[in-house]
Amino acid sequence: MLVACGAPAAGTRVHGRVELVLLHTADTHSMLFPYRATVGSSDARRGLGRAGEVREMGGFARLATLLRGERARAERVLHLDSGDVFQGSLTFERFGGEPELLGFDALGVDAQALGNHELDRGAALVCERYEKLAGFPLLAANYVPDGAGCLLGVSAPYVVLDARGLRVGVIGVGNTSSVALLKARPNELGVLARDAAGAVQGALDVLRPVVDLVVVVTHLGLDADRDLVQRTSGIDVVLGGHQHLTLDAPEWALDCGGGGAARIEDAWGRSRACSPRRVPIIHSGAYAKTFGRVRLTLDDEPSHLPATAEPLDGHEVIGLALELIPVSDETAEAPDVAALLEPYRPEPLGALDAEPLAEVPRPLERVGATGGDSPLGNFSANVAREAAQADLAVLGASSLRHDLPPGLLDRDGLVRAVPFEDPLVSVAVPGAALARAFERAARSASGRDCRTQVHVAGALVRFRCPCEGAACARVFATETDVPCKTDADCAALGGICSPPSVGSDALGRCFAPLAPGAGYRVATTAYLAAGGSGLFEAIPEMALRLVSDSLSQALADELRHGAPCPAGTSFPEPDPRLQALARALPCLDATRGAVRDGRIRFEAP
Amino acid sequence: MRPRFAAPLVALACAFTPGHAGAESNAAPRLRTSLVWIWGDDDVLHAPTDSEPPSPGPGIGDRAGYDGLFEGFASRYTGRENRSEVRLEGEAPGLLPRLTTRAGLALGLELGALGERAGPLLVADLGSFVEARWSFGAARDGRENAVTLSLLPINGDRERVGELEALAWGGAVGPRWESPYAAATGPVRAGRVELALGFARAHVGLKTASFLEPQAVGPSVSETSYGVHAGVDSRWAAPVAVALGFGHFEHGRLPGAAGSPRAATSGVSLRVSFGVGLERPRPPVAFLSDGSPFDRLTPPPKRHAFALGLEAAHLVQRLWSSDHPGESVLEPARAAAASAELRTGVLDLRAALIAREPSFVMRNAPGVLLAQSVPHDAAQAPELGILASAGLLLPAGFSPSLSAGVLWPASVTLQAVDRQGQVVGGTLIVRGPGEVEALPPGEAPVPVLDLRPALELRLSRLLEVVGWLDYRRDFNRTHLISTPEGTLERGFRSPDRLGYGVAARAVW
Repeated sequence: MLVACGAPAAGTRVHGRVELVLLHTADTHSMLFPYRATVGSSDARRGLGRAGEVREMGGFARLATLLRGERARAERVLHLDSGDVFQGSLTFERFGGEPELLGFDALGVDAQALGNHELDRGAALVCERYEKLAGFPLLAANYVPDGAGCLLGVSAPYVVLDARGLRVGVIGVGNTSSVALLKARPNELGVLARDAAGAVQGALDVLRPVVDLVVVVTHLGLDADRDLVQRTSGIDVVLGGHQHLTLDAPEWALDCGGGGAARIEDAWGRSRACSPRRVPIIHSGAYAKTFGRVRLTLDDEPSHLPATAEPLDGHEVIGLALELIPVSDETAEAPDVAALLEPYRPEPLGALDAEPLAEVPRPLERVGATGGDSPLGNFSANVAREAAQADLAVLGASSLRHDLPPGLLDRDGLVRAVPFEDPLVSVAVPGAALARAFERAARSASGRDCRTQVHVAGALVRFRCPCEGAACARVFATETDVPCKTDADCAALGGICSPPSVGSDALGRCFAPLAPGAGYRVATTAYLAAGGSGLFEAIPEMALRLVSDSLSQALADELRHGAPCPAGTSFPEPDPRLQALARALPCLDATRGAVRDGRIRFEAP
Repeated sequence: MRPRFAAPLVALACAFTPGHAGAESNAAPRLRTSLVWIWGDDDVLHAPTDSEPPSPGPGIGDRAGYDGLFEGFASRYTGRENRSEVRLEGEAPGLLPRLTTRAGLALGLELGALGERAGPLLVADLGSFVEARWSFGAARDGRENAVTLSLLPINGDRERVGELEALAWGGAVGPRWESPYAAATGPVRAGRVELALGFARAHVGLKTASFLEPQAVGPSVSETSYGVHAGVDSRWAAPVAVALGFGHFEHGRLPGAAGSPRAATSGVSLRVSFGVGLERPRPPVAFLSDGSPFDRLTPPPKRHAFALGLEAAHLVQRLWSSDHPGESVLEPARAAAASAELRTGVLDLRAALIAREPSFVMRNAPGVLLAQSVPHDAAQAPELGILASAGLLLPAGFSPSLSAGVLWPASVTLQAVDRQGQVVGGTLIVRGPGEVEALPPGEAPVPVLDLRPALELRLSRLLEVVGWLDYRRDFNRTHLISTPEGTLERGFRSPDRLGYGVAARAVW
């Protein structure tokens, strides 16, 4: 909420040079409490600890301390959130969003965009929770009613906020790419997603005559944010989320056609002229690990602005300083927020009623060092394949959201890493459709710095990168009995050689190419099967066979059965009591497939 | 005139229910039920590329896109909704002399889910109440003098000021978002005390609901908001009736920082009606009676009858000022309506006029900008409407009718000219609380025309049927269009809409 102190008096609209601080959070994903994680190099640069060490980070009570400090220091402050408040920890599984909204309310957020994961359990939960618990507006300008859904009763397209005489229009943009339902009509959410640029331009045209500044808070992702800026005119700042990106510096994009036509289409598809401006796009990370502090210097004095400045735009951004503020374990917790959330805190590891699943002696990364397969990805895909008794497993890379830090792994830690309540299913997929899916995965990886967008088991995959045309993926999905040491040994089959199993000196096996005419039983998630992330062509729900309620559930079931870590293992737990517990628990390490084995690799074109 | 509140409505319904012997003598529980069956298509002309037609095809049950012009004039429900109702009422003499106690459970059921054998059954409270009534003699015309205490423990949001649906304020009988209490964190509770004495009746009522209110530090706290309303109305037998109502309803705080001003709606409503052979005029659109099957607003008229009704409301709502940041203002909102009915022989003629400022149309969910006043520079146009109908009351409950209307929609124009001389912004059509639709820059609202022939047939005291055609010409409607690229763009809807429907309702 806005800080009430000092001039100007209420009722006076400010002119001339003013400062406004925007505090930006995004994708907090039910991470209300501090969590242990390995500090990465970029985390270290942002002040979360030394690279490689395991530290606590995040937590709403610490976030509250920092946000309140920022509010106390500046005259004009707004806190805006880019959505995906729900889903991502055991807290959401247990309490269905209640503590998340209580927490945001306590943080004093001024407005929030609607994220795709808010809709994971349907519209009714969103309506009930926001109606009863949210003392702040929920925004989605690009959602339009379709049927008698309740969602638009608890959300608005935009809101006008007063920052001590500065009128700030805030437009929210909900996600359009990750909620397959929003494209079906009728759908159980009761809303349809429309083109974000058209919706935002419509809102801009209503707001521009009456506000000084327009901030668009989105849950679209960076590419879509760029597209949004390029196709609109009048946005001053974009605060984005969805992809969990952390931009250390704002990305500046040209609006009004992106420097080309200097024309845009309005909400009605009518072309009109405009003057291009540079618009900052800011992504401030996820999981309340960092938040963005955006100091804006604004001015509406014509003599201080370029001749091309549009008077209708009110104040223009003439200066911007972005700082990512770390929410580290060095920050004190705000006692009132800590007390508010305490009833929702999961049992600490080692507590009598906690349920540790396994011991993780070394960190398990979800992203491979070379962009290919990863230890956590391989383990997850193996488990999915075995649980479904499938020929192969294909999981989305976005199913895994955190590395597993070394130490005891409990259900809460597992859900943080594999958060989504997305059923694991098996389905029969024709080879040709599977090949097309991998082609799409290859092109998607090509647009993401050659990082795989899938995890697989039961197949070897070679992605060309960069690659935008056809034949970007080679898939070998039939394991043969032919032993091999190198790919040359499989030349007769046209296949490639799999790596030998970890811990054995056996030879690998040749994998033959995917047969377009064959059928494969594939373990995957219901989200991907429904066409999510654009991987598979949507598969009818009737064709799906449920394997497990969620991937994390399948992993938990598997983890409970296994041998303890071998003698000589170095346990990271400092507490002797926890070390004893760690010795007795099943071990999650390379012997269980949690290792990079080169099943997914990138090749130069 | 009778105030539009649940308990009196139930009493009224009892009075007009065939075979009802009067409240005082009926101590046995009484169950009444209505069941509705609907089949129709509200938009047979829509193009196949229309991604959100009001009615994708013919079907049984409600169609989400249905919006009958003028059907919200006198009542939220016209009898055409796929809603069934169950009312269970009981009455018992009190332990004290001349004390009578009553209670009623009134539920609206959307039974479609039962038919599908899937999905939740939607149940809404329609004014369940408990009531204690102490009688103390009779007025000169024989009417009983009494004090009545009514409590609405489940859904008190139906308690409001004003009689016509289009002019009532301070509460809602329809969906939650139409109410100023939409953001309440729980149910709205209400109670009222009514004194019927001599030629007049006076009442005072209280409404409470909890709202989240931001705190300077920490999470918002749920606080109780209070609303009071009062009124006086005539209950003499003369042809003229008068009712005057006041209200002040607080509903949480304006969105913003801790200590924001209280959101409040205050105002006054006046209604005058005159009738000969008919207590008051019935609305031009009133299929299967008007409103709830048990809430018949008037008894059947005599063979020759005439009635005229006038109602006006003036209220103010506290909103953030669009022109003075950080200040709140009391935004006025005014509305007036007149209606008339003439019956002579088998001919029944009805007409209605309505005029409402945009801020009144948006009352309860105010602000083309959320919780903000209409900017001073904005041009506003009131909603103006005229509707007339002619019907024949033929023997055997056979009643053809034709109604026609024209409506100039309320609008707020927020636009400016940019540096390049282009008009930016546009006109916002204001259709109802929270229902605002933008027109493209430079476009102005166009009057909406509606023509509706209908045939109503009363088959028995239990079962009645109506069939209708509805032609609408509305140039203001927009919708989303699927583009070849697979995106949705907004464009004007075809102005012509033709719909039809058949509804059968059983009441027993």
